[in-house]
Amino acid sequence: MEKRALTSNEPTTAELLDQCSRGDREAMHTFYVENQRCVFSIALNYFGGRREIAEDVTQKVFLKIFTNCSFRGDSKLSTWLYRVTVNACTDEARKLNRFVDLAGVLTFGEPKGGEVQQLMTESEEISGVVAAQIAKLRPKLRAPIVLKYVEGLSYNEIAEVLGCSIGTVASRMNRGHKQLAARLEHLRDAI
Amino acid sequence: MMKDVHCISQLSAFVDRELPKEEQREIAEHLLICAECRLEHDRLKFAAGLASHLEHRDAPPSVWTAVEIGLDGKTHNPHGSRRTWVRFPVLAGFAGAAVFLCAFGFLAYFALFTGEPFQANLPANSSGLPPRTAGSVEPVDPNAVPANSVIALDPVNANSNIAVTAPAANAPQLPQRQYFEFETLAGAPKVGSRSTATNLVVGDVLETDAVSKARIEIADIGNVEILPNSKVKLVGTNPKQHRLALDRGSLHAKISAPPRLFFVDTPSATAVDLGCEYTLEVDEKGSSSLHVTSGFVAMERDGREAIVPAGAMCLTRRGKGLGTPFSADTSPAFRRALEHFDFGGGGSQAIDEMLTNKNFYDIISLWHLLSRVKRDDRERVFEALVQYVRLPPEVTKDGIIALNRKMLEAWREEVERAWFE
Repeated sequence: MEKRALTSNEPTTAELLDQCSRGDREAMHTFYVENQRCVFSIALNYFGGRREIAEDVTQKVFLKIFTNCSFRGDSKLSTWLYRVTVNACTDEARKLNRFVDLAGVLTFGEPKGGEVQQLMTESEEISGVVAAQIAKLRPKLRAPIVLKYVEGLSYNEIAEVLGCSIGTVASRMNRGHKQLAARLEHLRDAI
Repeated sequence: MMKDVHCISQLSAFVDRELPKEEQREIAEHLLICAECRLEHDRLKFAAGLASHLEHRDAPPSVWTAVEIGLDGKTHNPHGSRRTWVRFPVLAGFAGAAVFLCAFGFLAYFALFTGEPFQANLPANSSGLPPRTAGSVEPVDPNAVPANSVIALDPVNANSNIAVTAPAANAPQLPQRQYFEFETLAGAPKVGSRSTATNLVVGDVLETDAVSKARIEIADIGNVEILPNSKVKLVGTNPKQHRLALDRGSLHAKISAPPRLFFVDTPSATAVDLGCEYTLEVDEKGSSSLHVTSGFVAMERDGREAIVPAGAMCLTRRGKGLGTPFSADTSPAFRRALEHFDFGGGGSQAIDEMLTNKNFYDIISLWHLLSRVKRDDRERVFEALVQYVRLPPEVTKDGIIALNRKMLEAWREEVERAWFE
């Protein structure tokens, strides 16, 4: 992100966003190509690897940016984009919680003990298991962990994105780590 | 000082390396002495290590199509019909409930108004489940070894060469690099018969001659320079530990990582990184010499451990175990006497020589000697050490002579403080 304007012919990111707000479809596509991976990856891990939800969130984020851009330039573009994405994830999670997901209750429920091991063997993807457990954290704990480990943001940057202090980020990371450690304890021997 | 206070609330920031350098160092030092914080640190580090496996992925092309259609003012679902307000599983649930209620009402009607129990025309399989077909899932034998089992390095087996073991059943196959990259700094280091190699795979041995040198990158935690006339083997690498074995020669390690992530086995002991920089030498007989220039290193052998701080050294002798740590600035006479005590059976005579030649820099040795000498000599060592390092108020001479664990611990902190100041 924010790697534009390396040559004089390329518009800066702010110029690109300005072109987007004026309906320039080519500029929109360029902006999308540059940023879709980050938005999609955050959403994918926020929702425990559920691609359909992540696709929805990605679509909403870019539609919002292109139709109702709120970037005022008072923070870095990347910070703003992360904030829009996390907010969209939070909104989506709230909507999902409005009704009980019978699919989860009837088919899987909460996997326990050996079931988890079995699921892991089937998927052979530790990232999937970790993402699934991260998705069970409260949104307040989930967002900083996803921003830290998917995007590699520092605590300072996470604090800017979430609009809180670094101390709050550190505290949430601590609680998130603890809960993850407890939920993934069964992997310790396997790893 | 941080050393005296639990630091559990800061451990995530420590694990993520988000603290200022000084605080990182203070917490690392605290972890050396506080089992409670160390345990919590290990748990958080484990969680952080797992979280670092989260994936980065591109959105599928259908998302851009959906965005474009959305921009054109149409509603579009990039993945078909999922986004219905009440989803299919919910409808299915309601439908199931409705069927159940109807069936219940039907049965109740028969029971109440016909006076006969209802007899359904059941199929031969009276369980009501569909008959098993060729595609049905068979019960899983819990003892069966899964086909995708891998042979992995046993991370627990210290001092092993390439110790391999079958992992627990159902263990996941982790994406991890089983090699280190290295670069040639001088001459032509060799990996086996390959003189042009740039990777050191687990099990590989890298050798340097009198004029060659190489630098190995240890994952993302630092590097190790292999000096001339050395032979080093990559024993294993995984997220929990990286392990080399130095058979002979010298290496210089510069590691920036939480404690106990990087190990070097020698024929006479194992050097355990506690966040540090050090030089380790192994001679033809397998004896080793460690010189720590930053942080701490633990030398371990047969359950014994000597923690060596920056500015100190430690010798080991094959077949004779660990020596007592000593200052790199100690006098030759003190060092000779210490070696005589550690490896030559010098006893009380060697202690006399040490006490005659001691200076302030020898506090690190005197501290270690307290628990190594006979009781008769301990009082003399105590008197020598107390000349340089004050006793904390809660510590008594009798307690130290009796090797009271709490008192030793309290005085050790004073010794460490004096050492670093």
